[in-house]
Amino acid sequence: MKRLLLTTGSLLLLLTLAATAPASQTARTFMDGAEAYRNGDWPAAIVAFESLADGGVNNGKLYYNIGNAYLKNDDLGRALLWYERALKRIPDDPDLRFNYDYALTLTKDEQGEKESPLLRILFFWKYQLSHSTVRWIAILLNAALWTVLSVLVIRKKRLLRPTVILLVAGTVIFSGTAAFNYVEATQFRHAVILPEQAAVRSGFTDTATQLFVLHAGTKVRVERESETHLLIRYTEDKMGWVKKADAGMI
Amino acid sequence: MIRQLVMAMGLFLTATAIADAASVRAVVDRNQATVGESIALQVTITGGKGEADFSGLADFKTISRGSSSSFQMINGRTSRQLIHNYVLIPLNAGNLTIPAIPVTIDGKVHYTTPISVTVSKEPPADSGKRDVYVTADVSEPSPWIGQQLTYTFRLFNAVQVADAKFQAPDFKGFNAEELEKRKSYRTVINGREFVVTEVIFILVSVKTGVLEIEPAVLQVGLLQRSRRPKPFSGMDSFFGRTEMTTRILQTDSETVNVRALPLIQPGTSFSGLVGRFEISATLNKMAIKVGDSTTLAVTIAGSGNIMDAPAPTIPAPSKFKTYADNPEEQVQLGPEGYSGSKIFRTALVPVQLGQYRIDPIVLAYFDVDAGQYRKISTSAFNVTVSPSDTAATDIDVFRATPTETPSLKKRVEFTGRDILPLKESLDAIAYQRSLSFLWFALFLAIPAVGFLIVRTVIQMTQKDDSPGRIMAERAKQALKTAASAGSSDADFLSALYRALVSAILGTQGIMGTSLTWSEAKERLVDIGWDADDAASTARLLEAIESFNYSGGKLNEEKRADLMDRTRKAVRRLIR
Repeated sequence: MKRLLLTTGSLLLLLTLAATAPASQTARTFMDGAEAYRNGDWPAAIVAFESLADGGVNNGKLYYNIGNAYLKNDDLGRALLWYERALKRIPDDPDLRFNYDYALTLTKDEQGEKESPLLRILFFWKYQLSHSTVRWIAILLNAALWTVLSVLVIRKKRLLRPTVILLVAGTVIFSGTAAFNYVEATQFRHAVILPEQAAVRSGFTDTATQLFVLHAGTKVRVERESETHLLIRYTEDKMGWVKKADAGMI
Repeated sequence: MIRQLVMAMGLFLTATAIADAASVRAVVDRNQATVGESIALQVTITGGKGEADFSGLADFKTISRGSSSSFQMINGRTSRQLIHNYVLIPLNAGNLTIPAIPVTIDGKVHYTTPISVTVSKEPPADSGKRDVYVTADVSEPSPWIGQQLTYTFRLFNAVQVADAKFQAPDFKGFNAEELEKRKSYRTVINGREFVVTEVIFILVSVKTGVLEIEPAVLQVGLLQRSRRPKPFSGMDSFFGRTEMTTRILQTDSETVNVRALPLIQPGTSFSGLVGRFEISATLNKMAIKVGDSTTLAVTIAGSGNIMDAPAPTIPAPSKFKTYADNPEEQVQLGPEGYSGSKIFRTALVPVQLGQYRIDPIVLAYFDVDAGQYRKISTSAFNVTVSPSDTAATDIDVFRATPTETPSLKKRVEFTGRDILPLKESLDAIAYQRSLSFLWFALFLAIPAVGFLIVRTVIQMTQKDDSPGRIMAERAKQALKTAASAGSSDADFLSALYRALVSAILGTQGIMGTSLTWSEAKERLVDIGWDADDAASTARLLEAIESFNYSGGKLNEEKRADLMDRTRKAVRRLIR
C-alpha cells in the first residue's frame, strides 16, 4: 500500500513539473531579457524578448519592452514597429505613449497620413481604448441592455425609458466601434520602414525608378503585396513599391 | 488705253498696300555672351501696335526695359515705329537660339526672325577673370541639432555695381536670422582687386537629417564704360559714357547634414543648452548673521542658445530660505552667432546659526566641439552664520504677498531625454487572447436570444386575466358550488344563476352579475346561437330566477334537471 502511494505521488509530481515547465521557461527567458536590458546588453534583451513574441506571447507590455530594447540599440525602425504593435493592445498605457512620442521625435520624415484632430476628439474612445476593451464594453453594455429589457418585460413595464435609450446608444456606439476595429484590422494594414533609409520605387527591380526615399520609423499604409515587395502609400500623392525586408507589418 | 490705265492704278494700290502692311523685326546688341551676362534685345514693330510673347524663351530670363515710338517720313509718306526694349539673360551655356517671337498686330500674328546666340561658361570664380560673381558657404556642414552655424553670402565685384536685388534662400529646416551689419572689404584675387560684400545669416537647425539650402540669387546692374560702339547706345558711345548691363548671379546650393543629439546617460540632467558654455558663481557675503541675506549670483556664459538657459538648482542648506530674482540676460547676435550671459541671482537667508556649505552648482550642456554632453560646475562656498542681534524668535522673513510677487514661473522644458524603463512584471508574458469576430458576435447575440426566450416563456405561462376568462372561471366555480352536496335550494339556485350569467357575459368579455331574460337571449343570438337555443337558455335562466324568488321546495328530479341543463349551457358557452 505504501509503495502504491509513493508511486502515485511521484507520478503526480512528475506530471505537475511537466505541466509547469513551459511556463517557467517563458518566465526565465523574460527575466533573462530584463536582466540583459538592465546591464545594457540590448541585443541579448532583444533576442530574449523576441523569442517570447515568436513563441506566441501576445502581450502589449512585452511588445513595449521589445520596442525599448530596439530603441536603446539605435534601431529606430524596429523600435517604432514594436511600439505600434503595443499601441494596438495597450493604447492607454502612459509609459508606452511617452516612449513612442519620444521615438517619433527621432524620425526624419514628416508623418505621412495625418489623422484629423477633430476625429480624435469626436471618437475619443476609439483612440483611447484598446480593441479588447472596446469589445468587452460592447458586450457588457449589450448584456445590460437585454437584461434590463427582460426585467421590464417580466414586470410588465414600459420598455421605452431613458435608461433603455442610454443603454441602446452605448451598445450601438461600442458595438459599432468594435466592428469597425475588426474591419480596420483586416482591411487597412500599416507598416513601418525599418532600415535607416529605404528607396520606394516604381517597380520590383533595383533598376526601377526611385520615386522617393523614406527613413527609419516612418509609418506607411500597405495597399498591396507581392512575394517580395509591398505597395505602400506614404501620402495621398506618394506611393510605390518597397522591399518587404525594408518594412515591418504592424 | 483705259484697260492699261486701270492695270497701272491696280499695281500702284497693291504696292501701296504692301508698303503699308505691318512688319516686326528683332535685333540683339551681341550674339556672344557668358552665362548670366545680359543681352539687349529690341523688337521693332512698324505700321501697327502689338505685344511680343516671350513664353517660348526657355533658355533666357527676360526683363522688360520699356518701349518707345517714333514717326518717319520718307518721300512724303509717314510710317510709325514702336520699339520694345528687353534684357535677356542666358541661363545655360551653349549655342542657344532666340526663337521666332510671335507679335500679334491687329489680330494677326507676325514672327521675328530667330537669332542664334553663343553662350560660354563663366571662368572659375578664383581666376580673377570675372567682373562680378557670388559665393556662399556654411560654417559647419555637419552640425548637431540646435547648434548654430553661419551662412555667408559674398558678392565679389571688380566693376561698379548698382541696383542690386538680393533674394535669400528659404532656409527650410532652420531658424534664420540675418546680421544687420553687412561687411564690405577689398581683396586681391589673381592680381585683380575686388570689392567683397558679405551678408551673414545665423542658422539654428530645428530638424535632423540632410537639409539643402537653396541657391541665393542676386540681380545686379553693372556700370561699365562702353568699349566699342553698340547698336543701341546712340551718342553715349561716342562720348564714352558708362552703360548699365543687368546680370543675374546665383550661388551653388549648400547641403547640411544635421545630426541628432546622442542619448543622454541616465541620471544626467541635461539643461537643453547646445554650444560652448561656462558657469561661475559668486557669493557676496561669506559671513552673515541669522536673518541677514547674502546673494548668490550664478552666471552662465557662452555661445549657443544661451537665451534658453534654465534657472540652476541652488543646493542651499536646509536651514536657508531662498528667494530667486528675475534673471539678467545679455545676449548679442554676432558673426559667430548668439552669445552672451545669463545671471541668476538668489537671496539666501539663514534661519539658524552654524557653518554651512553650499555645494557646487552643476550644469550639463552639449558641447558641439567635443560632440558629447559635458558637465561643468561652480566652486563650493562655506558660509558662517553667526547669531542675530535680535532674538531668534524675533526674526521675521517677510515675503511679498502672492499678488505682488512678479511671476517667476516659466515653461518647463526637457533638460534630458530618455525613454521610460521596461515593464518587468510577469504579466507582460501573459497570453492575451484576442476575441475573434465570431465569438464577439456570439456574445452579442446570446443576451438577445435570452430576452426572446424570457418573453416567450412569459407569454406562454402568463395567467389570462381577461374579463372573458374571469367570467368563465366564475361560471365553472359556480357550477361546482351548485353541484356540491348539502347546499340549500337558495344556494343551489343562486349558484346556477351565477354560472349561467357569468358564462353568457364571459362570451362577450363583459364583467357582470345579472341579466334579464331578454338580455340573455339577445346576447346569445349575438354570439351566433340560433334563436331557439337562445330562447331555451333564456327561459332556463328565467326559471332559475323564478324558483329562487318564489321560495318553493325543489325536489330531486327538478334539481337534477336544472343542474343538467345549466351545465350543458355553460359548457357550450365556455368551450
